[in-house]
Amino acid sequence: MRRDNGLTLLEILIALVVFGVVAAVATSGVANVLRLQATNEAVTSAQAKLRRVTEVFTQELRSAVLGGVTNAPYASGPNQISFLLLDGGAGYQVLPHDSGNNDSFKNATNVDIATSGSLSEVRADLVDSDVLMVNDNGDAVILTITGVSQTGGPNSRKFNLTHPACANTIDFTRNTLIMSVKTLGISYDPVTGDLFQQVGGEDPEVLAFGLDGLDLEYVYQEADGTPHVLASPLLENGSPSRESQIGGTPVTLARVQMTVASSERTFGGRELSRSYTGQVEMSSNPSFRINRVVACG
Amino acid sequence: MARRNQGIAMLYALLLMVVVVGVGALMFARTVAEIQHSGDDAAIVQTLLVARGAANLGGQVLQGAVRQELHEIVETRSSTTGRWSFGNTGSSASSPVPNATSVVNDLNGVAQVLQASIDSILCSSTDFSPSTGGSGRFVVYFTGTACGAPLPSGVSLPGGRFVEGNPRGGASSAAEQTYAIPFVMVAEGSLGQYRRNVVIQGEYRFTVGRGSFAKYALFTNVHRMNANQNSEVWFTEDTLFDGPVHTNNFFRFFRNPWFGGKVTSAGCGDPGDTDCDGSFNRRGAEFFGEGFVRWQDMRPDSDNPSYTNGSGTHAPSLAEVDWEAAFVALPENNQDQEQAARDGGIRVNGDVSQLRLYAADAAGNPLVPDGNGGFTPTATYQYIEVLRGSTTTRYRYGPDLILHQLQSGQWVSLNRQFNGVIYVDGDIERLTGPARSPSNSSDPRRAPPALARFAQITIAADDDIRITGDLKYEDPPCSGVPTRNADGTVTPATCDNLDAVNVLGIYTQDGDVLIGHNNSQSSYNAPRNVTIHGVLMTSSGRVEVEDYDQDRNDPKGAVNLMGGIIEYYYGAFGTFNSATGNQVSGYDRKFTYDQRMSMGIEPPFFPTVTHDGVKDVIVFSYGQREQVY
Repeated sequence: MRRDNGLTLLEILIALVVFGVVAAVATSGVANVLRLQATNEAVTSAQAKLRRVTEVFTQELRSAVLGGVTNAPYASGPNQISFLLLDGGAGYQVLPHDSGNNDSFKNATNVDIATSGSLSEVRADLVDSDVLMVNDNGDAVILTITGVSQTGGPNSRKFNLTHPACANTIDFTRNTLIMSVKTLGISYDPVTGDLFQQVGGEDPEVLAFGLDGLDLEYVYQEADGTPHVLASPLLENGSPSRESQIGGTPVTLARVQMTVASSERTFGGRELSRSYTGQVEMSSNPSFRINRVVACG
Repeated sequence: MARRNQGIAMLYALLLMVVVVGVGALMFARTVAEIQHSGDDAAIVQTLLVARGAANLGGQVLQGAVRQELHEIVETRSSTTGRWSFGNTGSSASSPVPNATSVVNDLNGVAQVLQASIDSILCSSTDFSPSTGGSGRFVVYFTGTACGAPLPSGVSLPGGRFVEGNPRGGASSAAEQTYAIPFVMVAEGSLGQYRRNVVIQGEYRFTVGRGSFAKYALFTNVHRMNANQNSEVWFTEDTLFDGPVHTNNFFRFFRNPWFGGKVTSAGCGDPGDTDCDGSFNRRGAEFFGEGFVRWQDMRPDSDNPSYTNGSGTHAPSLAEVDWEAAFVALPENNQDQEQAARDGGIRVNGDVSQLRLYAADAAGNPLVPDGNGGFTPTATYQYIEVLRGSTTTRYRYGPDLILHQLQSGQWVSLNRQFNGVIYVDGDIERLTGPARSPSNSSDPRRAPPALARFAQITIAADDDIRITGDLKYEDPPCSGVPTRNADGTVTPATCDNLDAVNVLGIYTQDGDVLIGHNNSQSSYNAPRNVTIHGVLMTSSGRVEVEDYDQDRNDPKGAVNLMGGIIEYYYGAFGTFNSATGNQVSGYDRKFTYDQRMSMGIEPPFFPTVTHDGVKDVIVFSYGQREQVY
């Protein structure tokens, strides 16, 4: 009979209670799983963001021309750094201005080069561009080329570049070279937590949002490898210097290390902080390196 | 009522299932998205690493294969007479640097030829697939186009330039000069749909200089035995050279001689002393029964020519060959050696009756075999005895190279370091090392070493030099000789001691280098199976066995030479019965190339070639661009 009449009220109530208990347990378990997954996602997301920022940063810094650190567009320091990237031809040979002591080279607003390209090719590569001129001593200057002419006839390999706005301020040496470059600065704004990138004279672009911090350290090394970790590059005449002295001991900028931090809010409103650290060896070679980038005059 | 109750239970069950399935699907979707995202990240990083690997591989190729190509281009395109290898046009005689625009022009030509050359060997073979997946490739630009592709946008190539070095004072000057050609390397990694590239801009800096003649295993200006046109020399099955072989003339091949090093011939039909003195009308080789064949006509191809006729198959085994090599002039004067001897060596006026070298201890006792192929004790001094008439002058020096002379029974320091050059302004009637023990032994292993392990000596003479005894290194770099196996293959000599520094050069400008033979005075004859460790060179004569076709039916075994021979004509060593192949007179040849000579080791102040080669390359990077996004 019972089977024919269905369930009693008591049976239904018991079933509901059992179901409720089971559902509560299941819901709690699911909620825990979701919370754990959200936490993991927050950690993963924070780490992925930091890794990506670090990758972009280190890739750019690894590309720095001759491992040089500069002061434009941002003064290199604990939260920002500037350097140069190649942006065209590299290695144009600079010719002396005169056959004597070549005093006229310094302070001049034009420079001679020898290259195999045509006038139009040289113009396309260098005119209205920033160029880095670097000599054997590691002294470098950034000049803005506004004009070019071919000297010695149309088949000549000699060209004269003009940079009237700012005169040269480095000495001539035999292996003085010119490279087409663009400046690149990366800066962290601790107020907004945004990381900016500025290329040449363009407006800054946001590279990453919502960071908790960017700490840059400049590792100088003595000849025996003894490191000196500094918050800012050493300066000579106001310019970051690759080779300098600490306490009378010669040191060389060997690498830049960065620590970038970020936090993510979890499902339950909890904040998870993570940081990522990377290092970039500042490339150079025995013959070419940027010791310092001095201002043009 | 019962139906309604049952429906409620089912409804609850379904709701529960929907909730569970929904939550599960959501978690699954998010997990899949995470996996996908992680996979993307990993693939991008892996692809970038492959691109960096390709760039590293490209750097190695620039140091290796590209260097070799550049070396051959420099050999033919650099100036042999100017003060500068490149950039002589418009350069003043007093300028410390070549004309910059002229350098640009000259190196532009070099870059064009180099690009074509490396494209032919690299464009189809630079792909590689790392075991971790993906693939990489690289392209090197010395000009605006490489492998048919233009330079990447935003990149350009300036001209070449002079870096450093001194001008040359003459054709024989060995001053080194360094030049640079800019390059761009594009290295790309790919993994599935992912692509990343690295663009490197830099300069390929190369130092040119004039290498020593010691680098040749065999060099002839005219590949005949003398000026007689009929004195032809044929390379046969017995010819086994495991080092570079060159003639300014052309070679003749009978059956299958073996060459383990590069074979080069300038193809000059009638070489002169300083230049071809005619046309390069013999760029090819003569094959027995086929006559002369131009290299363009060789079958099946010029790298592996083979001709079969009634005399057999004539197919030289060539590791590498160049039938259009540059003419290499033998040096015209030996003033470099004479001046070096004046500056820091030993200079002897007039003929020398005997020059004897031996490695020994402080008491002057030659070393003795230790039973294991070496000698004992280790030499502490290198001794040099010069006999002129009845006067013997004795010198010695140790690893510090300070030269001492025996005076009144005492070794007196001459207060200068010995630069290794002994120059004789005449001929050397007998050049020998220490005698074998016993002296009549026919086994060259019984001969103590002539050169101490630290000794580096060049013996130069104005006239003939007659070798009358074994001249062995205390620390030989190689053992054995190239050997033809029963199946026709060749087993090269074992050279596993290439760090050895002892080296000997023997050079005469106007005379011959003779292996003493058939002289009435026995002291003028070399022993049987004479062993010579060193490079033998004559600018105008032959390296040959004296009276090689005399004293028949008493052959003297073989000349065991570890080094090389550089000569104007190809000197004869002996005669053979053409029917039996048996030696009739003189000596057989058993030559081993001293591989150190191709690695920069050479006898001091040994004559240098008159054209440039690449002595060193360095790859400089100005900067690079890695694909970020």
